[in-house]
Amino acid sequence: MKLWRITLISLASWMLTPSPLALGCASCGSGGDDPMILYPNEREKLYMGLGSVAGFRNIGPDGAPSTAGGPARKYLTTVAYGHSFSPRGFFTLTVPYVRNVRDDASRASWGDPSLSGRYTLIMTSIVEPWKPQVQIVGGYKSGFARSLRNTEEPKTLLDVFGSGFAETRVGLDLWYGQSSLLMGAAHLVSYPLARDYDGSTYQPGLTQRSTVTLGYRWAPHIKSLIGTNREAHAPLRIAHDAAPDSDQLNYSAFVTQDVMLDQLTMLRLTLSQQGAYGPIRNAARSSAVTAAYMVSF
Amino acid sequence: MQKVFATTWAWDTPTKAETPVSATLTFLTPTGNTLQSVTDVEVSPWMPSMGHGTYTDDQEITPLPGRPGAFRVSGLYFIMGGPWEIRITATVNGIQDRLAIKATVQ
Repeated sequence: MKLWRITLISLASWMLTPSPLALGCASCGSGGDDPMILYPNEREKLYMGLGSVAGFRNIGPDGAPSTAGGPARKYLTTVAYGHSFSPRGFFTLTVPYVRNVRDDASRASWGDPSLSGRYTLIMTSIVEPWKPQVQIVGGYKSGFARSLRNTEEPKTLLDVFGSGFAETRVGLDLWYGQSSLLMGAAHLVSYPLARDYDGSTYQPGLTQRSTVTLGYRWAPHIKSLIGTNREAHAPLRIAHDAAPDSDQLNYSAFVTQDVMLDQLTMLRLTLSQQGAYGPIRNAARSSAVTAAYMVSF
Repeated sequence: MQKVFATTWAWDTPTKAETPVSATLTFLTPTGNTLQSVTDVEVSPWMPSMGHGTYTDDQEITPLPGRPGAFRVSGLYFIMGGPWEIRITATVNGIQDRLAIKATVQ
């Protein structure tokens, strides 16, 4: 009798505990922000991603494509460490390492590390499947990596590894993950910090990034996601004056495949296309593929 | 501020990114007459929408013999395509002035 009780309690607990794959997020796997999330049962997690970006083209203010310049291909190695401070929240430290390749030449260096956090305001629940998981997202990305504005290789731009500006960001992420059909949406606002270059103060514009994600869980350990991002940048200001035609608009699309190997490890493959469709303005078009391995402990 | 010069700018070759290109720059009076004495000529490509310049180490500005106020600008190198400005600074009769012309680079 006692064994039956234990078995029933265990079974009920298991059924009421959402699958880790149910606890996703709309902006994860979108190729833009936190590369991973920690589930409530995870204390620490490591992420290692290998990516390649190519096919760069510039899209001007009139939407016309032209030569992007700089490296023809970028190889990205991303390492992230996540640590939870409660079942609802965690921090992630992300460090990218970038190798730029152009013809027979290449240069490699660290990119801009970032520190981000997520806190689940509303937990998802199997007994209230209509209630989304709601997370508040915040973060800081440093701007110490060499950029277009302080490059020492102005002809090839091979030593450009970052944007040149630190930024802070905050946003919300909604996620429905209790049925086989998955969906979510996220909105993040980034505020780049002003910085002086060559005696002038540069202030990139506020960035608004919206993500919509749809997915399907084929099995308890396999899910597929497709989604799109809309990213809009307000005009760049140089010495307090708005640079003409400097506002940016870009639409990207992504496909992500997640496979949990066991309760602790997951593989992820993401294909993404910047400048995928729509009225793109002052932005870059490129294609990326990323393979990632995540392990919690 | 009174303008002390106008210019004409003629590309020798199509403007293509990551390829050295050249042009002929001619200084004129604001009313379109030939200028005899132009000094301290500087040419700086600038991408207004991105807020950056370009690689200029190979750039040369050479007076054209027999053509007062005319210069050949060679070694212009645009690091990327898109809308650029060619910012021109020069001194005429001891007065420095500047202007910008637009260029679309493929």
